[in-house]
Amino acid sequence: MKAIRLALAIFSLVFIISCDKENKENITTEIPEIISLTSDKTEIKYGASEPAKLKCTALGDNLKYVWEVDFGDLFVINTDGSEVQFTASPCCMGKKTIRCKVSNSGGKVTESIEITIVE
Amino acid sequence: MEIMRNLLFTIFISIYFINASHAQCCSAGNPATNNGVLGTSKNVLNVSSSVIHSYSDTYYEGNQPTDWNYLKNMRFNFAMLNFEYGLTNKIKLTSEIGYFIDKSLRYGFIDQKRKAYGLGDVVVGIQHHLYNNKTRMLNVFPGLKLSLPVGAFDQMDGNIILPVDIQPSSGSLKMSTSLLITKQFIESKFTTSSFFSSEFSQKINTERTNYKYGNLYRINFKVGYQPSGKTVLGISLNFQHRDKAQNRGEIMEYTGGTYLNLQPSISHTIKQIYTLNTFVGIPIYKNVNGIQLTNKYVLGFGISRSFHLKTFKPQITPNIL
Repeated sequence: MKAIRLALAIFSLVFIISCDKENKENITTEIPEIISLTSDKTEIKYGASEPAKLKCTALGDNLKYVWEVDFGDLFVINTDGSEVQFTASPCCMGKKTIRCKVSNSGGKVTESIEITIVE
Repeated sequence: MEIMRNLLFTIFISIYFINASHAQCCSAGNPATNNGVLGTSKNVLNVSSSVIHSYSDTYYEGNQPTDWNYLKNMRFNFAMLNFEYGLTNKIKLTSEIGYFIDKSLRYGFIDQKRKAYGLGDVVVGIQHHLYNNKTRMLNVFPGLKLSLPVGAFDQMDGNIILPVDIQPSSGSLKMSTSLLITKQFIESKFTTSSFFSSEFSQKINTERTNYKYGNLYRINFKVGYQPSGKTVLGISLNFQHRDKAQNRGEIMEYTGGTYLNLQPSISHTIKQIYTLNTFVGIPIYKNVNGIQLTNKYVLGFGISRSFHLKTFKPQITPNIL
């Protein structure tokens, strides 16, 4: 009986340690760092014929990318969400600020870039 | 007298306007509606619930259709709850809350769509029965409404925060003034009403955007015909003009325009308590600035009921104190 209890205790301890290790692997206290936010175009025509491709390069663990613009359309083009395509309908002509927000459990950082939509 | 009141309810409860130009650009928030219910007496609460479906799929350049292909379509299903309370026999308080069951757009150049849902804006207002000429059967009702952006304005689709124009809430405080004029005819089954309104929005000034909706001006003219005591057939002509919007202090040239739509409607009263309303909005003229996606049709269905609230007398008379 004692042997069973000892085995259960050891198993539980190992289980707890392994879970804790797993959690620690997902938790980071380091704030992400955006190395660069680039676009292959600074000016695009309205419509879908000449989209701009944007890339947000960041350092850190378990990064989540969120993109934002007030008017215009962003489409994620890679698996981790660090690259998008930007197009806009005629309504949205003018200078647009596109933001890339990168976050993990350590914090969140934001970088922005401007693209002008012309006729 | 009671029959006359019910008749008034039936006639005016059908004064229900909706603007069909709630299409693509720069028109987030609740669709512009005006439920010109009259006849709400003191301590009478009128509750109405409605569902509105709107579909847009045609690009216009000026006043002509164009084969421009960017969005394939845009549509929404919107549920609305209205409360109207007669504070006095002349003053009525109104409130409106709306929820987008589905607000979505589909792109024409890529097989993707965006979808939003959630609470729109909350509207509170006051309407005054300013003028009543019983001989001429003419009534005038000025009103004031305030639209509060309490709903969702930061909805996401995957890694993308949705653009302003598809968010359920307008994100902007709006004020609208209105004037409703109604005219009935002695021993006639016809009634007419005119509705004028203007809406002004406050600039949205956040990290995300610096944007101001164009002012909105509306004129509606409606003729109602009552073939029986319970049913009212109506047809209204709705004119709307929206000024160009502004973004970061610059005018957005391809926003705003002038629209005219025809709106047949039917109202039917059941057991003198419930009133069912249904309408369809059909655009008959559009003249947009630049190129814009425009509305194809709007459908609406609603039900309303009035409650006579009791007035409670104070339990302690002032003489005792």
